[in-house]
Amino acid sequence: MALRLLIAVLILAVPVELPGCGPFLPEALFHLTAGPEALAEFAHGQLGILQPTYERRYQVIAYRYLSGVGLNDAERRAILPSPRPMADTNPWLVARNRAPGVTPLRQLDPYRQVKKEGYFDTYLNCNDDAFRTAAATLERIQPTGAAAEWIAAQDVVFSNCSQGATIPQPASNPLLRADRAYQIASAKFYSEQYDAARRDFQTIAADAKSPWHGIAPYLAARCLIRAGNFAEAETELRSVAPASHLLGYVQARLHPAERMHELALALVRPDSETSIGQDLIDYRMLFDKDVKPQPNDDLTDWIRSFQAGGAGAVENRRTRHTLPWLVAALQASNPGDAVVPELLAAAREVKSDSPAYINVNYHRVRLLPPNDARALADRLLAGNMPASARNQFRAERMRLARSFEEFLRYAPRRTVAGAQRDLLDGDSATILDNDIPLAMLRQASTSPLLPDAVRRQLINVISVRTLLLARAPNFDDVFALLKTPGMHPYVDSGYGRYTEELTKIDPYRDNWWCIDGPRRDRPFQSQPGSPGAPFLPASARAQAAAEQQKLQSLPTAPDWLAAQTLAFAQAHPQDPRVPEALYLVVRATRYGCTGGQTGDFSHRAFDLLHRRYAATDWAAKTPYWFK
Amino acid sequence: MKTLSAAALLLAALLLWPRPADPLPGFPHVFLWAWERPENLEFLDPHTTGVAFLARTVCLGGGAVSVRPRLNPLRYPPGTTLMAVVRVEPRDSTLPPVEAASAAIAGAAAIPGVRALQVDFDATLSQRLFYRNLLADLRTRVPQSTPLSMTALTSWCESDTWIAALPVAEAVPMLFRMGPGEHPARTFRPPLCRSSAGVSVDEPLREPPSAARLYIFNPRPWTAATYRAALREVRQWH
Repeated sequence: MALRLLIAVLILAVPVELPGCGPFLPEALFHLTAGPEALAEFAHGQLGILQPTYERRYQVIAYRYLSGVGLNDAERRAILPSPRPMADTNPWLVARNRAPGVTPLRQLDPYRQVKKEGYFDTYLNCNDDAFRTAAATLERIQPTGAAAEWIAAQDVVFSNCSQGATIPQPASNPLLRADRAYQIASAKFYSEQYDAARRDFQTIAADAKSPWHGIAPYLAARCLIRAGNFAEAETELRSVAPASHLLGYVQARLHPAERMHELALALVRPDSETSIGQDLIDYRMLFDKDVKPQPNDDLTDWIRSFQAGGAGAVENRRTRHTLPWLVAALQASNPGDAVVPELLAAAREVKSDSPAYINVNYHRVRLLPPNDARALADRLLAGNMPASARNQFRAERMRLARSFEEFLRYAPRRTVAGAQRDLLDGDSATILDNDIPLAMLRQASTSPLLPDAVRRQLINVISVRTLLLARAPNFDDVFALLKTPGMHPYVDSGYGRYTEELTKIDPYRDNWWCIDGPRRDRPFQSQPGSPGAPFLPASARAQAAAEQQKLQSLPTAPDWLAAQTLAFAQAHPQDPRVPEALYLVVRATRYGCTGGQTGDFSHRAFDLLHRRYAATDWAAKTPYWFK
Repeated sequence: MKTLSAAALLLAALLLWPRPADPLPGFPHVFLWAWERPENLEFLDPHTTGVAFLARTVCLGGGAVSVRPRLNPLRYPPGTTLMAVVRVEPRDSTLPPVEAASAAIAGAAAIPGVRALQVDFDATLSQRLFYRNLLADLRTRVPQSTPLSMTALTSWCESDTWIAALPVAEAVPMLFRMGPGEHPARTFRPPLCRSSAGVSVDEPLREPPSAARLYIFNPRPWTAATYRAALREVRQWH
């Protein structure tokens, strides 16, 4: 009792969050929650149906388009995430290893650990810019014939990226003197000797002949930042690099609320290609830290509202009269809300070339009376739209189905990640599972409106349901079911069972059926929000309900299979299939979902197998029973 | 009477049966798992509790290895026993040479203060041979004085005991985030799986694990309150 109490205390003390480890099974996605499936199209204004769960990067892009600002090509390049190659290709190592006579270096660790008692952390010490600069410098130095000497010193510089404090010696070669001074300053910087590095960079800044004298003041200010002296760095950067990203970063640290406001304004300016990339990074960082901009700005207000499901959006639309706020207000509204007529009137005015067109019309379908909604959905589905939007329109259209045929027509959806496949999403699978009688499932299993894979699965579902609903289940079928753990009486949504072969045991225990657990393991239970099948005649709905009642009373699969098998064994002890069936029952109690009686069934099947059929191979193959 | 005598004999045998030697002698019997997020564990008692912290993630893909170090601060009291955890994440089916992956993992053992290394790799069936070879190579790269630990899916410790002969001091069956209808066993047959178990503060167990060493996962950042509650729970188990 005390144990349970303490566990309960722990649960209450710690809110449930996402699991921290795998396995991660493939999941069919019909729309993405973190961002659009086609980034390039989205960044050209094809926004589809905006999701409040999208990353803020995409909310900013959407807001720019909804506000009529959009993005030019250079802004798009700056704002979209670039895919990182799996294997890092360090430009410095590439250039260095090409130089004649140099022993190749395979990798270079750019991260350095913080050395402090009672503390562990790692930070990116040498960033990509450093490696690009080194590669460009090598190209400049190569014609002088001093490349090998310079490379040797640069290796020392970069050896400090991950650990140590090794400083190159001053150059004896006059050709390399200025470059070596820069290497020495850099080595001090990477080895966390910030005061010394700053003095060196200041000396280089004063040397008009050094190729580094232009950048050196900026680097001297950077030393202040690394040393945590932000206020002095801000003053210095204002004079030496007033338009630099570094100054923006420092200001974000020193004056977060004011900086966030500046960033919000900058992010919606046209032709901001030189700054938008870094501004977006800084803005998102401040957003993540829950900074409230001073004063308020429309972009931040809109993102906060949209991400919160449209909180305050209706009021803001009334005062601001803009498209972003119409989109947010539509998202926040439900059929029957008093504000709906006003929003629908505004939404109707949105032109077909607007980036918001698909979005507002999706909400119109959601909010209009059924006949109008159906007509609008059919018209829009006949045109082009992003795949995820099409899936969501089809889901709405399915809810509006007037017949079983219409339901089947809109039930399948196309996956938007990985290979495109037509499958069932949770809403359509739930209705097939819970609201359609067996006779109509048979009809669906031959319908060309459903994809082949779904039809094939339906045939299996029908076979199991027929067995389970029978007054006296036929042992031939029970025996066959014992051998096919991939068969279950409910329709899969998405990819379905991980192990495709029906005769194979699934390592994740998705075998036959369960009576508890999440949806796919808890068939025959109505799901919150499911509209059911109002399009069916009353007699069909009654038949479905009667079948559901029986299916819901079933025990978990191993218990049901065991009960059937033990009863058959009792009545037909000489049947040659019985030993194998008992072996299969014990296997089912091991790999199927267990219930309160599973251990008892396992024990009984094991006992009977070893008592009555001890000489058989099946008994030899069954050394244990399972609780 | 005969039955009673047999039961008494069995009980005596169980009580007198030597417990397997601790594969991590001198290490605390409780470890907090500290995942990739800022964690301030300065409240913990270093005499009773160690920290198994995610030190790096080794990504395998395209035949290459890339290392993502921990980029979130971890604070702990002086004297805390540290175990570096390396998460291995295959991104595709083209695995790199074992030596490259092993070297990337071994680097975590060189972090100052680290006394043991734990590998967290949910290897699929087809990756098991790679994992086996990886651990064998890793054992040669890491000093013998640094014990190797590995996390284990419970199925690896139940019927599917492929891990039995791996060159690690312990395998830690993770008794949480299991599939529907699955309930962890209290103890496991393979000796590697017997000494330790991984539990989570947000998942109740039907039965307390019998393992002498517990690794405790928290899906949220640790606080002094959740730490104390977890310790109270663990003390009841042992």
